[in-house]
Amino acid sequence: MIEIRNMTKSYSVEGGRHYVFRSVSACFPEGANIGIMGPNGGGKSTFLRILGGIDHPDSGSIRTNKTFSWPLGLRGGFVSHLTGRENCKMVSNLYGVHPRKIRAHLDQIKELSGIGNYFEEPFHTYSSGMAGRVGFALSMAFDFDYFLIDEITSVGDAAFKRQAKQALEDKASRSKVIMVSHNMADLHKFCDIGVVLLDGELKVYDNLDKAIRAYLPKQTTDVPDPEERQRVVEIEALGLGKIDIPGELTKLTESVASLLRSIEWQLEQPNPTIAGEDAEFYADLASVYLRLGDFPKASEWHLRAVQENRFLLRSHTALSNLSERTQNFTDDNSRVSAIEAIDIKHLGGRMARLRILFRQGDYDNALELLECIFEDHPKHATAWNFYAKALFLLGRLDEALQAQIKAIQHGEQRTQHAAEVPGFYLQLSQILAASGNISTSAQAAYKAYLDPKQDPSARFSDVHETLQMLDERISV
Amino acid sequence: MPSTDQTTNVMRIQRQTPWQIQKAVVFAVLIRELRTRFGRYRLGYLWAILEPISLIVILSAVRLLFGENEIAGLPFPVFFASGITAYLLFNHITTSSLYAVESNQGLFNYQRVKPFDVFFARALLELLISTSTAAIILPALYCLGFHFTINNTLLLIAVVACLFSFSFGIGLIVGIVGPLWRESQKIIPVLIRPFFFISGIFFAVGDVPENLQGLALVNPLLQATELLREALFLNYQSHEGSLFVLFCWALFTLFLGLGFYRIMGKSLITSGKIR
Repeated sequence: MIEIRNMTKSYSVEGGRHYVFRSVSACFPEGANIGIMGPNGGGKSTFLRILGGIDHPDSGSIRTNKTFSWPLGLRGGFVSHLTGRENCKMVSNLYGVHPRKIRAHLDQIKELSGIGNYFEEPFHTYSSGMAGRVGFALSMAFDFDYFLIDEITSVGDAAFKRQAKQALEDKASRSKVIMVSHNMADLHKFCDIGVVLLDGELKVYDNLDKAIRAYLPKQTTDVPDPEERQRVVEIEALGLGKIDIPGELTKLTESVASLLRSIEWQLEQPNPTIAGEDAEFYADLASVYLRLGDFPKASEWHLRAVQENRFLLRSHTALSNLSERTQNFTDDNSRVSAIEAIDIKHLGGRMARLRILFRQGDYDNALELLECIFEDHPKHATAWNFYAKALFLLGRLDEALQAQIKAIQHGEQRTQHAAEVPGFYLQLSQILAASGNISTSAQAAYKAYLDPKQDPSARFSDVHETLQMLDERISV
Repeated sequence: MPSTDQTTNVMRIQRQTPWQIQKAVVFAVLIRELRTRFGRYRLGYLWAILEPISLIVILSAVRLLFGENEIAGLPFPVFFASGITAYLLFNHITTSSLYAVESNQGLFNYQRVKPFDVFFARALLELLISTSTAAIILPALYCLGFHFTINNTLLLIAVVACLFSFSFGIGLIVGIVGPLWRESQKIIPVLIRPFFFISGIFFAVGDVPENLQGLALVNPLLQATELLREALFLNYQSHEGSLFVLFCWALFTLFLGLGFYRIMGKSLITSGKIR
């Protein structure tokens, strides 16, 4: 718990005082990573220093029982003619590392910094990147409750940033970060809640995106049109830089493959018995193939499901959706009619009809149908995506952009749309490119390429579970 | 898997008692000061002892021209050595305090280090240097044939303690005023320099005209050199110094210095205060 009471901080400037904070009070919740944003000279670094106890406000107080690191990213804490080891030894002495443990402690810092034998060289021979690495490694050797980070970009290259993130994640259960950055993507990577420092005020938002939405409109004054500005902000708030590299999947995929082989083998045996409804079983199996991206197999099993039970709406819908992927449009219309015969308002049926309209190039009717869908399902991300696509194809770029942003917002809120979100970003990228916003477009495309929610391990563990269940239902 | 047990060695920031923290911090700063002071030059440690020796040699040479070889019952190199040690302790503590905050600015990035620690560590380092140079020079002079007998060890300890407190008190004041008012960093050394001439480095109080002795003894440094010689040497013939006066001075300046620090110390590490 960090509580700020009536804090005022000012600097004397020519002709008066410049107030960085004017009697601000705030309270930071426990256990959150905090991102601090604000304009240059807005007091971000000063705030970090005050939190760290190495600067003081003019009046007011900060109450906390937490320990804070020194602000990382500063080079000042090292003596230039002492070696990296001697410098680290001095700080370890400061923080009371036991003399018997100090050697192991320093060796560990050396390893984490990754600068090898430069560790034994005087500090003035270091590049700024190396200095940053040593500073980071040194602080990581202690368990502070909060690590104060002043512009992580100053701490090193992209590879080191990844390493730094990993190190911080390893500590996440005990330690949190408070971080200052101009780069919203960096904030997205590390922080949960946002603090905006602006015009002598300090505001805490319980959600980083909210903070970004509140902060950016005031900063994007170079965009004159207020509506346009709002859009810029919303695009920024999507966190296009929030990119992760997927982990190792080999183990999971192997077991998925062997389960699948076992099920297929059992199905090929004469007279397999299946617990429950056959049609449901086939539809489940088909959806596994769909998740794995094997579309021909998926339609094959869905067809079989429909043959077993011609009222199986789920498979009908899936088939009409799949027709696009497998380029097999036969019976599409009749299938949709079949769905509509069962339930005119069935969402899957309407979506299938929508796909047909798109294929026929009838975007005006598609828009009409979509508006009907929105009446019942105003937050349907996929529908919004279609809406944006139709508008885009009709050349109504501004409306398309808004619709696309809605699609992404709704899509990110519901886990069931997670797999589709990268596709939404891809379309966003196309719309942005068409409206001439190339750099943001590239960011959006990159985001689609490496979407963090598109976590392959999660996808495969999902499939794995379904397959296990199917495997149990079938016996020869 | 090398990464898994990286956390085992991580140092938990323990809740240490203030005394433990104070000890650790002063020790760390002291070691750092030692390395910055002497680590840079090969003759670093030698220089600490060369400064008093060169002063002794020069002063002795001047005295030789006058043809005397004893002052107040002491062989003059021994006489000078004691005076110079006392003066240099005072001089070094005050002048090094003057820039203590600025040259250690980087250290204040660590929350545990406060300006007080830096002042105290610097003063302590000077005390260590002074006592160790004296511990080398005086026996060396004895071996060279300038004989003396130690008089009163307890008094010696008391005098050194008082001189240290006095110098540290002054050091705190100038160390705080210096960074807050930059001009003073030029003025204060000029103010300190005359003490070289009035603090009994090359004269004993007994040699001062009687009507001026009272005035001269207002100077606490003169008291210190007098008392130091009285404590060190059995056959020193001047006994004008008063431990009580020196003690009062020490108490007064220490109180003043600590009070000053209490009021102004925080502004040394508050941004927007130092120009």
